[in-house]
Amino acid sequence: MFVGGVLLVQAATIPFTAARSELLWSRLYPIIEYDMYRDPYFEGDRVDATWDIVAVYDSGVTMPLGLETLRMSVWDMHRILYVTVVEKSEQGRENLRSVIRARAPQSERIKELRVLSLPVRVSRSGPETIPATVVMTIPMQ
Amino acid sequence: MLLADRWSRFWFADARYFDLALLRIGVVGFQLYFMLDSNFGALTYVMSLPDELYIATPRILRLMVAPFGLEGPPAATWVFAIFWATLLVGIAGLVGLFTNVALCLFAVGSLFLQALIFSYGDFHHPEAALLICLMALALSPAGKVMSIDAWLRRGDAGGNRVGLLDYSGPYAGWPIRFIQCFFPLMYISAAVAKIAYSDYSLDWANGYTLQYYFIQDDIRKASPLALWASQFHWPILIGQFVVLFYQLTYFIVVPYARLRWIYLPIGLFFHFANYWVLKAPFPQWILLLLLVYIPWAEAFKRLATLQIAASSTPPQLPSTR
Repeated sequence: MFVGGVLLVQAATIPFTAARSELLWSRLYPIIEYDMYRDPYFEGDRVDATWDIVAVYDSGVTMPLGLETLRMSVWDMHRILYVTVVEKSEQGRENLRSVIRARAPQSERIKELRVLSLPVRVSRSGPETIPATVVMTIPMQ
Repeated sequence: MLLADRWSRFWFADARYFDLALLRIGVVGFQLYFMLDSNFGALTYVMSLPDELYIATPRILRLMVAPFGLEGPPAATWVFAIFWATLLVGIAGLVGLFTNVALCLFAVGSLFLQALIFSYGDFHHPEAALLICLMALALSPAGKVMSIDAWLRRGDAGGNRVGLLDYSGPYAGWPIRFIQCFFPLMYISAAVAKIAYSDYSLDWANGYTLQYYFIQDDIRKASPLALWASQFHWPILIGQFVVLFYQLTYFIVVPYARLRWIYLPIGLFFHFANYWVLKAPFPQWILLLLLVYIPWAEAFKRLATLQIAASSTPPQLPSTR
């Protein structure tokens, strides 16, 4: 029963994956979809692999907030910024604010956060750098 | 009736207890190492995160904490108490003391801790298969040989090496078979995801996709090997087609066991390349591939036979001519 059940449930995830459903993700853990490296990319696509967060203080001074300052892993930072920047989630924005309030130096004086994308472009012969851009400004209030 | 017979023969044909015990020792040993090397740090880290980040996506975690009426994350004291208790029963499972009870508690504890680590948004793929294997081991006679339980029972396993390798039974093979069948499902899931998210085409295998991931992982994880590899468009494109073909056709190693000698090295190569180039380690998969697809008892037996044959070669007789 264990064998049949687990194999059946694991096999049942495949139609969900094929339908690109967002239903499963890790909800049935340890039964999961194995969708590692699933998205296709094309020549000229921007690699937005890293974002920098810059705090703008009420005096106008700016300060980059790195992983060490915020005591976060690269994955959690990527996840929280992905949700905030790409999915434009209000909850993601609020979570980011709460981390900054708790961990950035003199956080009560931060007026806004700027999220900077440091992109490169995919080409046939490897990466090509393109200029950094501010992709989002988040007021702290 | 014929189908039922086949089904029964597939799962419950006589198999060596040695292979099952080796799976137990390998999987439990690795999980214990992983808990100390990775989970402890990860738990310390997630317990330091603000409670707002706790989303408890895995339903199994919600089920596990529901009897305690918990809405937020469990208290760190309890989490680390469970961590050390899980480690303790894991050691019992490794040496085979009260094997099934120990493995059952170890599997539940490991699942709880891993689900908790993945309850803050971050989520990875390699651990799940090993946790499922642990559950299967807990339900199997994994402590029949090479365990304190067997030593206490005395004599069951036979006293010499050849006897141990020959000792077999109908319930020794199903966990190994189960993981052998689980791998194709994981690989098909991976291939279907690549095709589905390319709008049901083969666009994923265009060379640029993997170049993108190489560049991305170099930036994220500082992998100079990935950056170097990202310039070779055509070899990468061919490699992507090989990956798709491999993942879609892997299931044939289940009915045609001999094909594992082609598929296994390719799979190991890709997982090692993932580790070296993309810094995406899947050690659990490498370990399981090695443990479930290689018939270790048979291999050791052949080696022992060869050694015996070599050591008992008759002395050269003088010529009669």
